[in-house]
Amino acid sequence: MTARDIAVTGIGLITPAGTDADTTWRTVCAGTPTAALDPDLGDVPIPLSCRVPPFDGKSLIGPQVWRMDRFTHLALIAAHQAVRDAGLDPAAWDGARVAVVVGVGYDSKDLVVPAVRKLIDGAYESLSPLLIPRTTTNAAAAEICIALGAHGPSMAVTTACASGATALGTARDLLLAGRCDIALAGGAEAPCHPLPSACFAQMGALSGRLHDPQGASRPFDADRDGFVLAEGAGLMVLERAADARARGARPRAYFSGYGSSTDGYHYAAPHPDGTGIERAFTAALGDAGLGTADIGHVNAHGTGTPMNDRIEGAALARIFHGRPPTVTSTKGVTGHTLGAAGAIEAALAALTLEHQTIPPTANLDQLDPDIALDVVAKAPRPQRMEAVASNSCGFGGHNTVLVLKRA
Amino acid sequence: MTTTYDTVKTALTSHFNIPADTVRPESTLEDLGLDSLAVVELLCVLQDELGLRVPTGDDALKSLQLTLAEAAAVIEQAQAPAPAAETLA
Repeated sequence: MTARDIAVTGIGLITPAGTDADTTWRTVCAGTPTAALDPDLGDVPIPLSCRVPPFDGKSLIGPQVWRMDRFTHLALIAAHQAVRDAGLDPAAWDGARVAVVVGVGYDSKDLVVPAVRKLIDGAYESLSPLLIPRTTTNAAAAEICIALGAHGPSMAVTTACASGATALGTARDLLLAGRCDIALAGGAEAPCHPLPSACFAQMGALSGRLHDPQGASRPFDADRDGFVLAEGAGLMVLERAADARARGARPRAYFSGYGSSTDGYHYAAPHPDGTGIERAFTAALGDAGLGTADIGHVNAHGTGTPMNDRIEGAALARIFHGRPPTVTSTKGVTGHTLGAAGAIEAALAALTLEHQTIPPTANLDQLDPDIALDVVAKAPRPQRMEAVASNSCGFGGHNTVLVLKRA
Repeated sequence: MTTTYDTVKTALTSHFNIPADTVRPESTLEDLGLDSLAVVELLCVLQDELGLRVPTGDDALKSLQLTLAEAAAVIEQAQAPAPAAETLA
């Protein structure tokens, strides 16, 4: 443990793989894909998604659930779980020293269709007055602060599909700068809606494997053809390691390094050489005071798009001097939760360290011959690991790497 | 009470999750925990989900001190067909 180690003292997850962290971990380790045909997407070209299993929002969040969009429901449930896991009592904490940072990639679309219809009809006086406060990306952070009495710095962080990871990195910086004593940070996204689905399809980003929904999300596989739209949230309680120890909290892992970079190259495509990923890795390792040889495993961005996995694979091979550690992409199970992905995967990386077991990449039947990685497939792989990295990339060229160490 | 009152009560219990036993004719909107934005939301729900005509321009309807019975009466009036315009002699 060093002065720059941040303790992960609580984990909350609500994902297509389960409505809590334990269930999510078990499903991810079983390698059970969650992608399915989604009738709620209507007649969009690719009605596939990974949905969170049904949950009772009213009992988990309270009667005020009506005023929130779905990404906020997911964020709040994960936040409550994380705080409970950390053994913290929000009624007793010094709320002024609690920060909340939630990564969200895309403004919420829950109400957009009826609202635009009213706009076209000139029915201005029937537009919901809550449309703005509940759909803006900060809504999840704001509702968490209200629910838990967090009165320190709070914000949404948005770097497209790296948002959840960037939020964790930002929270790390807030803790190291002494701007708070506890940070609740992660990501949330609920994009399983016809508009994003149809638009991602127009970009050619989605898997079109309608004949085999379960097999649609297949990171690093030779037959991959895109990602599967997914929803979820992952929130973690972070504290300076010395503070966690002083209150007798048991860290589940240490969050020891954060590196961030931007390609500055294209509004959607990653840089073909993956140089941004490499810069983020170098920065994260430097922050953690570690070298590439210390990293035992990488939880990859691994979306399952042909381009991402090829570029990320080549970047990892180069960063690790041709000997990259074992890699997995949990998106084979969860699909791509966009702005939540980096946080869900950081939580899964923490659990990977805790269990000393790497979950398999679902649907990886035949590794793309152009990808020179040891990707865990078929079954979870026990492995001794002291440190792992989680990589996230977002449209616009945002790259974020997080380094976690065994507690 | 009127069917309009029952419809308002349905909106409060089903959309806003307010316990049915706390919704009474003499309750004010404030008593039920609604704020000024939630009241406008209530008017929208009555239009969208329950098909009522709501005089959204009537500022009296947006007072948090209005009782449910009073609010229902204002909305009730708006359900009646508009009186025929007087013809000029």
